[in-house]
Amino acid sequence: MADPQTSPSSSFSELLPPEVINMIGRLEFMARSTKEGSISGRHTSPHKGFSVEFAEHRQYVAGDDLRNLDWRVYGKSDRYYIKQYIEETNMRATILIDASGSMAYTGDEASALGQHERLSKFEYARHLSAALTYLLIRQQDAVGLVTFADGIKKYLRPTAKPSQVRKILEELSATSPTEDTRCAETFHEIAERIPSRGLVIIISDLFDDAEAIKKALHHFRYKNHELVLFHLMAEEELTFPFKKFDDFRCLEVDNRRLNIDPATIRASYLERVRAHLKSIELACGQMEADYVPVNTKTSVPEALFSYFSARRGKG
Amino acid sequence: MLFLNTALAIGTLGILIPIIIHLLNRRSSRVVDWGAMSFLLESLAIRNRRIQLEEALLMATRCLLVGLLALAIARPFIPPGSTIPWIVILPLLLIAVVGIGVAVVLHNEPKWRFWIGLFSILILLSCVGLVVFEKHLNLSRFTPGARQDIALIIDGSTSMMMKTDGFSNFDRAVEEARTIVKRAPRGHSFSLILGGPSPSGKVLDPTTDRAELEAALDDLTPLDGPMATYHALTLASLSLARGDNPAKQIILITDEQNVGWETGKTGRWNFLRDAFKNLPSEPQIMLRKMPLPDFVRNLAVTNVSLSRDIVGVDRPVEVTVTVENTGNEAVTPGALVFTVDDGRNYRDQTLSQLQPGEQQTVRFVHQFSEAGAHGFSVTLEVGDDILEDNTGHSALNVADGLRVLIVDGKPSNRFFDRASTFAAIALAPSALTLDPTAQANGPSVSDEAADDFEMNYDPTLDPIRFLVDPQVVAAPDIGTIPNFSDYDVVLLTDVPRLPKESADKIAEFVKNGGGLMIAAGQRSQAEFYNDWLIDADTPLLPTRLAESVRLSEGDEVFNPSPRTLTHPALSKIADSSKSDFTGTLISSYRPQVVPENLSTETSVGARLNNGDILLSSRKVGNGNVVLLGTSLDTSSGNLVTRQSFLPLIHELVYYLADPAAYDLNLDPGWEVSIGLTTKGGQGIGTGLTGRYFTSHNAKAPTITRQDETIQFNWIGGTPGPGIPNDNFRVEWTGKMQVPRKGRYTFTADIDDYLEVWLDGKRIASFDSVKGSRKAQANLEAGRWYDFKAIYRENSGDARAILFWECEHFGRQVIPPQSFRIFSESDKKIKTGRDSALAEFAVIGPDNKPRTAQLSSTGRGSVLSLKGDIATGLYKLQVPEDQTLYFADFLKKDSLEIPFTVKRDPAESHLTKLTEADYAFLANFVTLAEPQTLEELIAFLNGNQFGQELWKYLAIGAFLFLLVEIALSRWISRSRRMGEDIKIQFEAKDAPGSGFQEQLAKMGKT
Repeated sequence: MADPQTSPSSSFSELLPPEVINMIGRLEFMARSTKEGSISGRHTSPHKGFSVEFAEHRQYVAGDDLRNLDWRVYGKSDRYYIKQYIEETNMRATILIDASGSMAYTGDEASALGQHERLSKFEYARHLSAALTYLLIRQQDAVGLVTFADGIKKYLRPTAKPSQVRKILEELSATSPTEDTRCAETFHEIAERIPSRGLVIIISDLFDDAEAIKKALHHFRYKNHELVLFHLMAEEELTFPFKKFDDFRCLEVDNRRLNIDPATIRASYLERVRAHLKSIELACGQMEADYVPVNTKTSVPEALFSYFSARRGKG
Repeated sequence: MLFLNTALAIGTLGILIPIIIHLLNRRSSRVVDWGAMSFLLESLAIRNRRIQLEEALLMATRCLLVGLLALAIARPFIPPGSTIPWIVILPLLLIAVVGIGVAVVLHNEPKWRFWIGLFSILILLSCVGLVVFEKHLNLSRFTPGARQDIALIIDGSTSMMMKTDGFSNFDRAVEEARTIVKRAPRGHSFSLILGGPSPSGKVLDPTTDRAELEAALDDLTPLDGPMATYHALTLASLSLARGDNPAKQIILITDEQNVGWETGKTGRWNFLRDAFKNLPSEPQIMLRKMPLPDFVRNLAVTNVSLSRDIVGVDRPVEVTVTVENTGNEAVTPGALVFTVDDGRNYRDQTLSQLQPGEQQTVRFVHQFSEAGAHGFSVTLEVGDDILEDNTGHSALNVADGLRVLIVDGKPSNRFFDRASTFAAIALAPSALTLDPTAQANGPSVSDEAADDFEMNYDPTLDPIRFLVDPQVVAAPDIGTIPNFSDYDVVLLTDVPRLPKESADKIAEFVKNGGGLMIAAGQRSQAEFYNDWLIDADTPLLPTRLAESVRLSEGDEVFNPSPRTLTHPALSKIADSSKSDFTGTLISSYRPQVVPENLSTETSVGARLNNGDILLSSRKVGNGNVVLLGTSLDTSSGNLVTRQSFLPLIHELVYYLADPAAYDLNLDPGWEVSIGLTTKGGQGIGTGLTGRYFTSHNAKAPTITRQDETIQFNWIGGTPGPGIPNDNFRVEWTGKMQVPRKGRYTFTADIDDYLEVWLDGKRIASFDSVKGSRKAQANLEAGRWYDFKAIYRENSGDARAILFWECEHFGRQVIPPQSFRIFSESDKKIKTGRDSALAEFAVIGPDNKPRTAQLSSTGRGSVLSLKGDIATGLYKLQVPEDQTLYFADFLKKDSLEIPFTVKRDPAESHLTKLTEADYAFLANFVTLAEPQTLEELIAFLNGNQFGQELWKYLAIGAFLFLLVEIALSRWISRSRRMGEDIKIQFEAKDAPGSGFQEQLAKMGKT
């Protein structure tokens, strides 16, 4: 992977190959509810934020950005006040991309894209998030990025600056999946940190306890986020087609290997996966989140297209 | 546990095959970098136990399957007598095999894996160690390398000769023996014993020489008669003791008849068990059974018996022949032919059809015309399955005559006043009886001569001679009898007293085996009889005589009391329903008192109704003394007028003459031998052969005779007719034996010269002129030394008395029983311990030459038959120069003594050993029963048949094959269930296949 500092354009062309750009050129990410302001820049948000249009002052509390201190008020009254502006961000989307070890899995049947012959789940996620970023920025919505694995790895605040695309793409290029997944815990952390009432796009394989994930997702909903969940699974993970004795090396924890006869546990494994998927899908349905199952054998554009067409169909 | 195919035991390593396959399966797996590990782990956490269990079960089954199969092919067996409890260890071994398989499979349980693996390997190693231990140390006799001494016993009994399918069991047995010898490992030594009435050691020293064994087997012929199995086994133990190999075995090829096994005789079998135990290793008896046919058509002569014990030429004897159907089909016999060796024969056609088990008897009457040993045979003319037992034999020694000297204590001119009259007439109703001067043993007048007292008779009129040859001598004339040893029995009838010299001679006569009967009447003087001693303080008579008791008026009548008639000679007249003996009225008798010092020796043979002793007897030396407390005339009652008087006197004389030593019908057994004990109890051929020469240098002897010992005092006279008074020479030859081992000193009272040679060495020379010197020699007991003594008389008195003495006894004339005359007739007989004295040729029933060896036993001589011994009639060939010694048996002008080995009727009954018999035998010996020849040979090759396990193992392998199939099918089915699961993983309202179209559309717009 190219160094983002030296060749910023490489990550761009790599993560946003022409066929993707081509495809998403006509797409629009429509917010599902106006209240939450998914149509970027069209509505005033009821929340106060930092913007051009001043709204009011409020007392400074420790931890506020000093940038926003109204020095004039200080000069007059010797008190610290913070200037608050009317928030005029159209939509603040945060893309949560799972960079845990399990995302490194590349199935034999995974789809190809660009120079990648077969995409690992993470690469898939990268492409997906690049496309979404591009799409959202183009709509002048703010996009942020959180890469997480065992905790938050990197957090790029959402902003609608066009340069955000480059920053995000570089960040994506620089990230590679490593650690163990503890997405549920991490989601809670993220939910606390990112601004509320935004769009949260989670791209993950969600290999964690379904109940914990459910709770974490509820946390997002509690913060009034709109949730889109791209659930990435490789074909092999869904069918477990292994026949011979295989040495399963854990992608998340070093040196953990499992030498088993796949046939012996296929039934149990698939049963377990199905239950997991089911419970997450159910949870998403209950909290009106968009649950997007993505099999990596589906090509990225196709996955995007199908999602958007489905969303449009609903909306 | 050992293996028949030891090399194939390597196949047990086959249990590695499933293990290796398992490991290869795992090894060949590729590495999959897997993300959804948590699901795998979760699944595994739940399934792991089960998976491991399935894997372990499958692996255990496969290991067991292969292991059992490999073991079965290696054909393991448990040697009998193994000290290792294989019944526990074999399953342990299998468990170890399973354990190794399981340990390999348990990948996820390292702790378990380690311990199970460790224990399994330990068990496996110790099992292998035990096998090696058993093979090399504990039971080396079972290994092919260990050389064995094998006693091969072939049943040569009559029943083995029965032919089925053209071959007899005997043929088959020999063929099997040949195969065994041929196919046994080279190092195995064999001895060969043919089992017959007496076991015959064909090859007694175990040998590896196959040619010798083959030759011996080629020469084998079955022996008619039963197999003395017990004795054959005893001989086998002796034979095995002579072999050098530590491992010992006995192979007995037999048709399993129970005759000769002597089951139930615990003492004998204990002896055999001890004999076996004393061998370097206890042999086991491998019983190779030949089948007896189910249907047998057979008649057998099961018994030939004579009506009397003592047969003389005086009257005919009745021979009873029993014919029995021992088969299981009715058979009609032909004639029964009775053939006597004097050329007479009789045919009997009275036998009718015999049903199985039925017996019929035929009686023949024959009068022997000549004294001496006779043999006769009875042959049934019938063609049945066993031809041999259609013949029966018997031999008997026809008595020439028992010489009885009747000493008359009441000589009288009146015939019936004499005390001897009734006894003499009872014994031989002959005119001769009345004339003591007539020549003894001459022809007598008539069997009805009791009333005919004619003095002049024509000897040609009646050739009948009587068995008992009585000679009467008046008591005062007893001094004229020079030698009582010419008589068998001396009968004293109411003799008052005897001169001391005669009394001493009679005492000596009794000690040497003579019979003395005393009928004590009123004239017998108690003080003489009571003081009649045989040595310093032992009386000759069984009881002390008291003064006469007479029946007086009013007294109860004296009768013999029926219940007290215990003397063997009274057995025929003891039954008062058949005999009038108990009705005898006795008017006077001499009461007898048993002295204290004889209380154990004297037996009371009859008492009177008042309890007083009527008849007592006692054994003195080798002879017997009978004392009857009443005289044998009319003066003391009516005994002589009773019908039972005749048998009474006859039986008493037979008893005293003791002719039982001459039973010529011999029982088969360890050895077949005739006891040839003379009346002196000294054995046949006692003494020395004396050759008398007319001069010191004469070449040929003038007289050759038997001298009891060297104890002569010719004074100035001649030692015999034809020998001069002076300058003669005598040579005594024979064999000498000392009673006890020791240093013997020989001395002599000699005039003029005597030299003594032992074993060809001159040990002493005695010279009356130069002075007698002592000679000493260390001599061993039980060994016959060649003895030679040369005597020379110059002039004047002639005397030769040879003494010996040693630490055990004082100086004495060498007793006659220390000498045997046999020395030159057979040079082949080696001198040595327990060696035979002489060897004689014997012709057996098969007309093959055999030998019989004469040897000396503690009491008398024994003639033992050597070589193959079959039932039937034998003829001992007596060399012409030794007829003298067998005079008691030889017919006139004959040099043959017939005798028989008895037929055992049980052999014809074909009764098999029963379970009870086997149970009895099992207490003493280890019996193995190889079912086939192959099994037996396999055993000799170091393997064992008894408890072969391969069948069980093969069945086990088969079962585990089925289990494996079922298990693997079940497991794979349970795993295939996972293949059906499909996960729905796509957006529900996805546009589906129209995507590409839409995409293209979008692209265009």
